[in-house]
Parts: sequence; C-alpha cells; structure tokens
Amino acid sequence: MTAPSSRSRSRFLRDNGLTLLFAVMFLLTLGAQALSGVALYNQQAVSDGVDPVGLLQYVTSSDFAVDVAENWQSEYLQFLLYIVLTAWFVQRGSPESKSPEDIGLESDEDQRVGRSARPDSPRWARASGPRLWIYSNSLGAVMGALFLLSWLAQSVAGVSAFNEQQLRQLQAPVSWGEYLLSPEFWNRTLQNWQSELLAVASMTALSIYLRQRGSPESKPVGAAHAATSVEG
Amino acid sequence: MRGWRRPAVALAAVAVGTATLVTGCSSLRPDGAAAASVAQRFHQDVRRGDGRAACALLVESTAQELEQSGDGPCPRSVLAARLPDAQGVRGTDAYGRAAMVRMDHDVVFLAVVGNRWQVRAAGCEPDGQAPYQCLVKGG
Repeated sequence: MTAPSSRSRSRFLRDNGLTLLFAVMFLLTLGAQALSGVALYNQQAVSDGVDPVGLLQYVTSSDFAVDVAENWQSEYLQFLLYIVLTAWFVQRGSPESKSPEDIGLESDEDQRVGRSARPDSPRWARASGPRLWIYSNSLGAVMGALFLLSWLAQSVAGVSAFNEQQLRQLQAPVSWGEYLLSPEFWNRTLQNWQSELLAVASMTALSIYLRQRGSPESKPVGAAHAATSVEG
Repeated sequence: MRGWRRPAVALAAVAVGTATLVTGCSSLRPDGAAAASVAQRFHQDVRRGDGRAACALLVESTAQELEQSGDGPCPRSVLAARLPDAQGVRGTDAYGRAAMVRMDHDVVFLAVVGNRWQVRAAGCEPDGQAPYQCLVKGG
C-alpha cells in the first residue's frame, strides 16, 4: 500500500517533471560554471600579481554576473523572437510552425477570446479592450522584459568587470555609456545572439525531415515531411 | 521548446534574474574611500621619508620589482623613485578588487590583498591608449 501523501508527491513530480528536471540541471550547471569560473579568474589573478579569490567572493563578483547575464539575455531574446515572429512567419513542414493559412493574429474564434471564450478560458481571455490586449501579448511581453533586464544586468556587471581588468592592466576605466559602444560589450552580445539564431533555424529546418519519437517537439515519426503544425 | 513557455518558469526566471542583478550590483561598490586613504598614506610616508612604512603599503610584487630594479632594499628604493608630491584626492574609481586614485599630482593604482588595499603602482602618467607609465609598479 502506498500512503496518499506519497502518491500525491509522486504525482506532483510526474506532472512537473520537465520543469523540475531543467531547474535541477540549471542549478548544477550554474554551480559548475562557478567552479570553473573561479579557477579561471584565479589563473588570471595570479598572472596579474593579484590575490586569488574564494568561491563566495567570485559568485558575488561582476565577472560571474556578466558571464551569467550575457547568456541569459540571448536565451530570452531567442524565445521573444520565436514567440512573436512565429505569428507572422511560417516554415512549411515544421512542427514548430503553424500552417501558412493561419499567418497573422488569427480570428477571435481561433484564439478563443471575447465571445468565443470557453468556460475554462482564463478570465482575461473573456475580457475585452486593454485587458484582453495585455493578456494576448503577455508571454512576449514577459520574455521581452526578461531579455531587457538580463541585457541591462550584462551591461552593468560587464562595465564593472571590464573596468577591473582595465585597472589591473594600469589603464583608465570607461563609463557605462562608453562600455555600451565598446567592442567588448558587442562581442559578448553578438557571439551569443548568433548561436541562438543558428539553433532556432536548425531546429525549425531539421524538424521538417527528422523525427524524435515521443517528443512533442517533433512530428510523429510517420508524419509526412510536408505536414506543418503537427506535434508528436 | 514549447515546454518552456510556462508562466511559472518565467516567474522563477524573474526572481533569479533579479537576484543576479542584485549580486552583480553588490560587487560594484568596493570601498573606494579606503583605497584613497591608502594612496594618501603612501604619499605621506614617502613625503616624510619613511620608506619602511611606504613599502608596507605596497603589494609584494611591486616591492620585489623595486628591489630588483631600484637602489637596493625597498625602503631605500621607494624614496629614490622620485615620486611626485601628491596630497589631495581628486577622484577614485574602484571596481571589484582594483582601484585607481587620482591625486593632485599623481595617479595611484591599488588592489585588494587579503582584506585591505595595497598600492600596485604609483607615479603614473597617462600614455594615450597604452597603459599608464608608472615610476613604481610590479613586474
């Protein structure tokens, strides 16, 4: 016999497994990044004749913050672009795309809003005017806000980390505005953007012809290559 | 990819993002006033001819470089380095564990060693885009 609390716990783990698994992997990877990062920072510190730092000092440093934030901003930008652009651009044959005839914001009936809302539709989907507009764009807005927040964090932590390096090399620090125009800032930014855009383009194109059985990111294995907007 | 489009994940990301911003900002405020005070003390020691006290404020690699390239032991070499006479502090830039103190007739670079600021370079002048040219600095 299994106790009810144990059953409900295992049901919770099953129902939220995807989020929990990625959250745990995120924390483990972040920890590993901190360990490798402090080792790298201290290698540089020794060669600059500066004291090495401990793990706690490193994870509260701008060096760690900029390395984390520069990757976050590009991930949120990727999702922002994907969420917004897939309303207007399609890829025939991709399970990540909708059908070409659905291009655009679609009808209220298709979107189940306003009078076409169903009993189980979210409350704001049944509303009209500004509330409906806000809820209709809430996912993109939150992703956009997270992108801007992460990018801001990258720039703020980045100028501090850059200036610490400048001072170590007996060079003058730069202002935040100067940093925003610097090759350092844009190189950090663009090297992440290009990789995210490549990953999206690859996923969109490869999923036309390739399959992953059981994955909702793939079409069913037997689905036709031309079938669009079909998830396995 | 679609599994990630969940409000809960977005909310969690906001929380962690804010935490990163805060931790990033927390390290942006090292104690610049303490760095300026050490730079002033260093110049005071040099001005009153106390080379031993001035050398106690230098990072080890700078003291070693002085001994190797100067006129013998650090206390003698630091006084012989002909550092400009600087007293007042015009401004301080401090980031992480490094600082630059702009004085009335000198620029001093410092680093955190242990829990205190020490002088890495003094008697420094700008040199265009290149590093400052310093009379006293580490190897």
